Amino acid sequence: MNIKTIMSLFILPAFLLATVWFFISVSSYFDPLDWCRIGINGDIMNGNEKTIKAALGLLKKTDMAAYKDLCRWVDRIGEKNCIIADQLIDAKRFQEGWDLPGCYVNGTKTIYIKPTKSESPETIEERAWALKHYSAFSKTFWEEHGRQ
Amino acid sequence: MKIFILALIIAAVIYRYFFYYDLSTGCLIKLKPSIIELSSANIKESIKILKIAVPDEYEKLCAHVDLINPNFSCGGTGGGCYVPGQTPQKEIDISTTNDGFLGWTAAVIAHETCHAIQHEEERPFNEDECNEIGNYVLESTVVY
Repeated sequence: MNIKTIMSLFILPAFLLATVWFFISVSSYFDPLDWCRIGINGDIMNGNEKTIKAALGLLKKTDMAAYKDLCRWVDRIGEKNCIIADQLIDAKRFQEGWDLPGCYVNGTKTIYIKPTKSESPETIEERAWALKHYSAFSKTFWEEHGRQ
Repeated sequence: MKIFILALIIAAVIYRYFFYYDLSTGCLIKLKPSIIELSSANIKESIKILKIAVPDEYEKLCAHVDLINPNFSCGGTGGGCYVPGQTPQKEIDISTTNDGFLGWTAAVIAHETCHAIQHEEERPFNEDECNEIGNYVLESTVVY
């Protein structure tokens, strides 16, 4: 094999794959083995995308059924405080929502989790719990409403 | 053939960024170009939330609004605005961001639609009524 053949057979495709992988990984979680790709909208100032990805990995290890449900019913995870009430109508409920670990918005495949910079194992565990808990709402919603 | 494919691509891009159309109800809402973010994806997704999760507010939106301005307006970042008689069209301004909380964008759309209805019915502007509607949308859509 000459150098041109080696380039076209191995190096170029590998380079292309690595480039695609890089761009997918920057803004999302990608697990090709379980055909799972979830967009991540992290909070650059107050959040940490790394612990979202670690929480997804932990969920895969500890609860495969929940992980598969999450891959199926969630296509985006946003790192954001939840708004469950208008501050001008009900300030107490607004604050309650702001402090929640996360939430789900009906009619979407997006779940939100509260931003945190912490990288502790407890944070990763809490995030794994939140991902499982809120993705169940998405599953319930779409099973009731069917594909739209 | 090439021209046809090119026209198809251009049409798809225009639809993707500048129109919301619901074939089942005939609801058509135009979206002005979003100058800073170049996309109105958050607004389109929030309209779909109203359709699926708060159908009564969706009906009102389709009946009373035909143009949405996604650019910065008097409502400030993350807010909305309704200026009566701004254009001959029934226009509301929604200045939420593309990665904004979808439930909130849906609430702001319903809030501004409420003002458009007040104007159309020649009633005085009433913030309390529209705040209640925004709150109702949040209560109907966000689960935890």
